[in-house]
Amino acid sequence: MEDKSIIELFFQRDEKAITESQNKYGSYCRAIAHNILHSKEDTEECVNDTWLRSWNSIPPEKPKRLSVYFGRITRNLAIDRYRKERSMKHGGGQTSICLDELSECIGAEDPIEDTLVLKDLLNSFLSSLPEKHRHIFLFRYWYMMPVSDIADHCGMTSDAVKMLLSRTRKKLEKYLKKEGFEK
Amino acid sequence: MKNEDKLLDAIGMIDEELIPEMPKAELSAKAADGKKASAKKSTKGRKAFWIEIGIAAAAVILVVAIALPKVLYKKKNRAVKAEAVYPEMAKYPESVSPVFRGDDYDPDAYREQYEKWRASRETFRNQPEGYADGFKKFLEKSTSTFAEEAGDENFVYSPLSLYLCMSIVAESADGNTRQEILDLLGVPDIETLRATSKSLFLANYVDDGAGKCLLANSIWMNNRFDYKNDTVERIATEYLASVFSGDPEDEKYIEEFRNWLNRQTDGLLTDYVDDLPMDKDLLLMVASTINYNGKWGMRFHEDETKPGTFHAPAGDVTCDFMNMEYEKFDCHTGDGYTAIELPVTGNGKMRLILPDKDTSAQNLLKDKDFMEFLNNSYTDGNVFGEAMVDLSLPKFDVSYKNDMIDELQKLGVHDAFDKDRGNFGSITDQGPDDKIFVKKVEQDVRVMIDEEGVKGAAITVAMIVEQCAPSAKYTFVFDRPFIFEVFSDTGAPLFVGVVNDPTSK
Repeated sequence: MEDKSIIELFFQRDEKAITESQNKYGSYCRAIAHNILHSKEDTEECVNDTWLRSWNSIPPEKPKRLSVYFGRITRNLAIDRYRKERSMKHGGGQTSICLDELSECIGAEDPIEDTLVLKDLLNSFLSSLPEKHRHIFLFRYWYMMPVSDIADHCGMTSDAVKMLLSRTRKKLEKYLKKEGFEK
Repeated sequence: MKNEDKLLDAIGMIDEELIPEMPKAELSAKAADGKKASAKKSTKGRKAFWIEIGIAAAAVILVVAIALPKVLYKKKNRAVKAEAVYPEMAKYPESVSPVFRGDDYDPDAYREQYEKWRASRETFRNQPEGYADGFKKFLEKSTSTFAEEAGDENFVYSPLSLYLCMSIVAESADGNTRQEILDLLGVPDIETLRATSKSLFLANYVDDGAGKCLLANSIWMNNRFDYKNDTVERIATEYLASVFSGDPEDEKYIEEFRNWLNRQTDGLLTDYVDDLPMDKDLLLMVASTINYNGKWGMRFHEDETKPGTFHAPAGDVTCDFMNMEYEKFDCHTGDGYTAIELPVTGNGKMRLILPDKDTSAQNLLKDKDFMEFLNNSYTDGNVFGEAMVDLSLPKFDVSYKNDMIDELQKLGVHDAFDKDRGNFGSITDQGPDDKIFVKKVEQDVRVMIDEEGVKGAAITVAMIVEQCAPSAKYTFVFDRPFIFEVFSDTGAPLFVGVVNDPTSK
């Protein structure tokens, strides 16, 4: 079913919207949640919560790219769950490694107050990157894909992907520093 | 909330047009039922199910034909003359763990696939009795000689890679030059060597989805010279080697050579490969590679990894130590050392040897009894069996480049390196004035471990040139220099090494 028709179903408050979303984007959302949580049960719960959240948010919202809309909700839910579990000492999948990597880009001294400013800076930083570099960065930190999977997809070696990610992180660190996020 | 968490959140908020589509492979691999999770979590369950399957298997007879490697002769402009077709093996069934079966788990389909896998693995492992005798003799002689090299730096050596490379050099040689190499390789004649090399190749080759131990051979010829076709063909079929021909002064040919090496080793040794030259007088370049990748049977947990101090010979260094407490590791104790074996799922094991505080890795490697232990994957005596173990092991990524001619000479190979006595009449017509000899035998090896498992790669190249003419509780804290070995599933040592400083490549 086309995205437009699925959104239409949401607007008509027709529960088929959930079934159709599950059919079309269930595996996509499960893949994202699984990268973050590494647990089948938690992944399932996250994906189910995604449909509920979407049911409550569409309308009024009218997503432009339905995949990314659902994916973003799943990602947020999964990260929340990861954080809860982390405080209870359960490890997640890729998330702890991704966080370690990201800590290189940003200092711990001054707590960041405004995530929205950070988001805008990221938008302009990512837009300035060559497409391939941006994609690899987001495969890693948006979809939380393991490096080896990214390497397979891009026809590169894992070492090359790691090297590229490390260079991009260094660039981001410099960029954020310039914009006032001191490390 | 920490700043990196906020950064992760902010990345989640970026504009949607910047976000790429998720790769299809990622979707199909994980989406349906978290198959990757089951593969990782399956180790415990796999053992239990093994027993269950074993009973069922007794009543099943399966005939599995393995495709023996063929050689495809291609008459194209490319440098490749013959491409080895590597063994194909049945895949290890996915979604196997009884603890973690997906919704679409089909026990019959699983058993069928499992049986196929088991039969195919057995077919490869069942080589003629005594097939590895020559290799064992070679190990006894060679490992101690190469290990003498180990000083205060990290050291790694791959016996199997050297054995396969020198086998092809022997096939190309003739007369006493060949005989000296046969003696080193522990075989009476060239026919036995062919059988030994092929069996070693097939028995240790693993590519079944669960583990990876890929072996590859190749020879690189010079299009200015004439070669004996029957020998070239024999190298291709008996040693499963790919055959290439080109101009060694042509950058494209050198690039193809380097690309082949990088492909076979997943780019783990690019630093070495990128500087690897071809001599303009090249007659034959022989290359053997190993590409090994295995997951620990019992994975280390990232949360338990903590920085600690390693007492390196040059002074203390700080590195990450992986920690685990487990009751089922095989442990050994000997004169001057204790050792522990970490199983690698379906793909052999890693043995870690900690010298006692009053001795050193170098001293142990000179000890005859110890070398016997090192060369034997099945240990008897001095075993204290499965014990509760507190293990603390540094993550490491070590590599070593070894110029091997001096050691090979110590081991009795002389003529091959002597331009006046080298006899390579099996690969080309050699006139009395043609001075053909081995100019270089070099090995580059890299082994790394982390919480997930162990990876390793080795390249051995031999360059032949023609001149002028054409139960208790034990604590293992690996916080001082130690020795390690990686064994394939049949017990052949793939890599032997000494870690003196885990923070240094």
